[in-house]
Amino acid sequence: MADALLTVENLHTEFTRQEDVIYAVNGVSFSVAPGETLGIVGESGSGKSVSVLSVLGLLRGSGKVTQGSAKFEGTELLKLKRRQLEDIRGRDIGVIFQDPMTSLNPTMRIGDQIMEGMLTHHYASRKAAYNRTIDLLTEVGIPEPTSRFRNYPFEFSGGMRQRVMIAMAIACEPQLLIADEPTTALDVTVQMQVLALLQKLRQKSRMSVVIITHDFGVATNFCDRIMVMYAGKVMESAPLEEFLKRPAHPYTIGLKASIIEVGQSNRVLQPIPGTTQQLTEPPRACPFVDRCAFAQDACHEELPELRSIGSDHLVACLRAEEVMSHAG
Amino acid sequence: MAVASMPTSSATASPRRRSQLGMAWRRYRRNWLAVAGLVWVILFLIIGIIGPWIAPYSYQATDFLNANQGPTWQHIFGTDNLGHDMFSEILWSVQNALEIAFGATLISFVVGVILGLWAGLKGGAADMFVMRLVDFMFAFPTFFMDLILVTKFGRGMGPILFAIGITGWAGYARLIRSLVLGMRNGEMVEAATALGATQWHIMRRYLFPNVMNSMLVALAFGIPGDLTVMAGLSVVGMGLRPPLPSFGNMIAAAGGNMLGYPWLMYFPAGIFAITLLAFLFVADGLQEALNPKGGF
Amino acid sequence: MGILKYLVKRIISIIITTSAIIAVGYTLMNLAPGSFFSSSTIAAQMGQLAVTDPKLVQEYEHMFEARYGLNQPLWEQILKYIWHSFTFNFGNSFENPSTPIMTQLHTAFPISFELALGAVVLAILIGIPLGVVAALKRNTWVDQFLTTISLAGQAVPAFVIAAILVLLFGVWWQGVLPVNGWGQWQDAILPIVALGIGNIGSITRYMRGSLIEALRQDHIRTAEAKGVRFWPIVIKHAMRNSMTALITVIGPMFAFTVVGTIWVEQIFSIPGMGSLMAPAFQSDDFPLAMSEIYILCLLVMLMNLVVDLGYAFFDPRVKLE
Repeated sequence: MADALLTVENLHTEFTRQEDVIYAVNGVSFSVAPGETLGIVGESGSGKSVSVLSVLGLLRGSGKVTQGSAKFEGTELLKLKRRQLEDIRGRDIGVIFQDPMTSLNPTMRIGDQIMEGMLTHHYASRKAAYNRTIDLLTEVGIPEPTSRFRNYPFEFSGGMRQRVMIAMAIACEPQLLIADEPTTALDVTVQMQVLALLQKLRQKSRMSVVIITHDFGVATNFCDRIMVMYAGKVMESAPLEEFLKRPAHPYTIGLKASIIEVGQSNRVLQPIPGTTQQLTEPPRACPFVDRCAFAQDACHEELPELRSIGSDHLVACLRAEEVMSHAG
Repeated sequence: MAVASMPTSSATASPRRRSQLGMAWRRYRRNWLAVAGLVWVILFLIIGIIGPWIAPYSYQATDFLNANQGPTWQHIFGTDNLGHDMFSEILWSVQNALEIAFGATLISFVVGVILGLWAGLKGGAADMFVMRLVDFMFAFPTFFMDLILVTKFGRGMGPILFAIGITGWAGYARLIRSLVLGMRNGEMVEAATALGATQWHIMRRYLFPNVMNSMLVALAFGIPGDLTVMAGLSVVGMGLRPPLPSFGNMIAAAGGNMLGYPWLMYFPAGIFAITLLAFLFVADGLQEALNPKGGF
Repeated sequence: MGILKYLVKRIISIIITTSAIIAVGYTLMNLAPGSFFSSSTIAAQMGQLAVTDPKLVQEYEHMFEARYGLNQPLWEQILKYIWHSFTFNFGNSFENPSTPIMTQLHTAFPISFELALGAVVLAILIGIPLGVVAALKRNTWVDQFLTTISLAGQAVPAFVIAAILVLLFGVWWQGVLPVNGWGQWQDAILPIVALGIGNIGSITRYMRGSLIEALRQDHIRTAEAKGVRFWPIVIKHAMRNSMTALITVIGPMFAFTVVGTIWVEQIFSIPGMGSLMAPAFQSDDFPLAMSEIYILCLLVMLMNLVVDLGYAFFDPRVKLE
């Protein structure tokens, strides 16, 4: 896709822990079109956050990208110098993190934290940045913005802090907003409010959004397109409607079966058997094989490629067609 | 609105199970300074035991004809103003230093553990009382209290050991108390209790190992501290009463005429400094080996 | 809690603590074996008396006790002492019956204070940059080197470092810096360095640890995500947080340094508090010894108060209590 805003191809990321190498991301490819909202869904440890944070150079600890490419508006992000990447972060790409309790600087006034990005990128003069901060606080729904400007994070509730995070991320009007589990740490009622706010902002500004979540419901309610990840690999990727109607990967079907839906109280929940594991060597067979009801001998021997099985519908399963007909 | 319930992953899948102690030793061994420190400490311990037997002269033997001599074959570390053989003095000092170091540290440790456990387990008024006492001990330099106690009880081995021991417990008490509180209210113990573990099992499997590691590290850091205080008493003239030899006494005495007889300073101060370093490197190594922090 | 109420509470606690120190110290020292009176100095002063007539000696003793109020009940002496200590009226020492102790301390105290303060300031000025370098270069040889040297600096007591400095500047680099006495400003350099090296070690190690910890915080990643540059992140975000914690180390460090001053003054022959304290203890001159301890403990406690106020000032989350 030449007109995509962000194109990631064959990304590999590793962590070293003492003597072991953890293969967190093993050849992930995806792209985000302008104005599109992509949902990346997966269990914790599936590499969904790592694959996005790698691209922005925001990995903590020993994380390292070993292979792959990530083009943002045609610029190769993985080859940029630190200083050039800093120019893009915050200005062109905004990020919202999971835990608003720890993601704000506890000793800095929240207004200053919102202004900081704008001043760093010379987006606005100090006075204009101040005015925009007040506007942003109003926009994200914080009452009395002028007095709240001078407050410290510990004087805010979790939901309010996440609103501040959002204001910070969109301060420079980025083209791409990355939301890494934006509602996971919040109460359920607050989750809804924050999602509604994100929805509103997205519609207003036409920015692209990547939302990383383990919550299937958030993804299906919010996104144009869904990508499922498992063990650092993409399992399936499709536009929302196609995805809901014709899931083609056993893991996706398992995920859908494990959802509790409102008004379906008498349906039997079906958890996926088994657990995920951190990979200490690169996967050679289908990583899901041990938990898969459709597994055959071939699945133990071959690493399934991500292949197209319909319009814009990609899946990494040898038996996708059978799975699809079975589920349908 | 749909809510997904995902199976949670178990992130800790260790390929090989190694014993706690074995892993600690592996980490310790990697720190060569800690290993070197351990070698010196063991050497120091051995000399502390056999020093008086291998010393060529008694610590009281004086030789006025050969007073204030630089190092010779006869007196390899030289002699002081009374003709004491400095090499023998140092060998004897090692024993005194060890007695103080381990004796005083043990007193501090025992008092600290008793008060800390009492405060942590009993809570309420006991906790209040102990913590006020700890605050008091931390409010001023305890070295002054050591001076007063030594003035009162004399400058013998016993009084000095007692003085340093009885003023040094506050840190241990505070540490033990916080460990006990942290453990008692910790999620790990709560979970174990919920799973039906017995009190004894919890003590043995969870409380004890965790507390032991932290205490061992605190003890290891305490020893060089107590050695310093002991020598510090000598520097203000309130150390072990001569002719009993100690590193502090030798350093204090050498300070009087350092430019005239520098060898009187080189050897005691050098060996004392190396010993403190050795103990500290051991403590530091233990800390790293027993409480590895961070995943780097 | 209001700052005023907090201050009052802290000052009351300081008064209680100092009074307790006086009570304990006074009780112990008053009962100490070998009182000043029988110690060698005074015996020499009145040598002839002792030889000629034991009765005269006893009379002299009584006179001496009456003069210093030592014939009163112990609790009365202690209460009086505590009361007078509030106005810094410590009476006269045994050794110098004609000079008030306060006059002696008046010249000695500023010297020791200057040394201790100098050592702490030196440590802050050098320790912080070293700690930052170690933290930013963590797990490299630079870091290894700095942390090892710092640990060594912390381990070796000030009096040993002082001795090494005297040997260096007294024998090899003779005349570069004075190694003895007090008068010109150069005299303060070596003592302050001797006292400061341990503190530099502590601050370097502490700064390294807390900066690494601070850089690991989630909010640092947030700042990175905003595109904030490297140095502003280190200075504005990480260091600000680790510096506030550093303030809490400076209180105990000051107490430690005050004791170090006593030692170092012995080695460099500096007429500070240590030069008065050592002979006072050696000859059981306990009015002088007690007042020295009182003054130094008070100094340490006041410095701790200043440090705590500073901590509350720098960290908005800290509520004084």
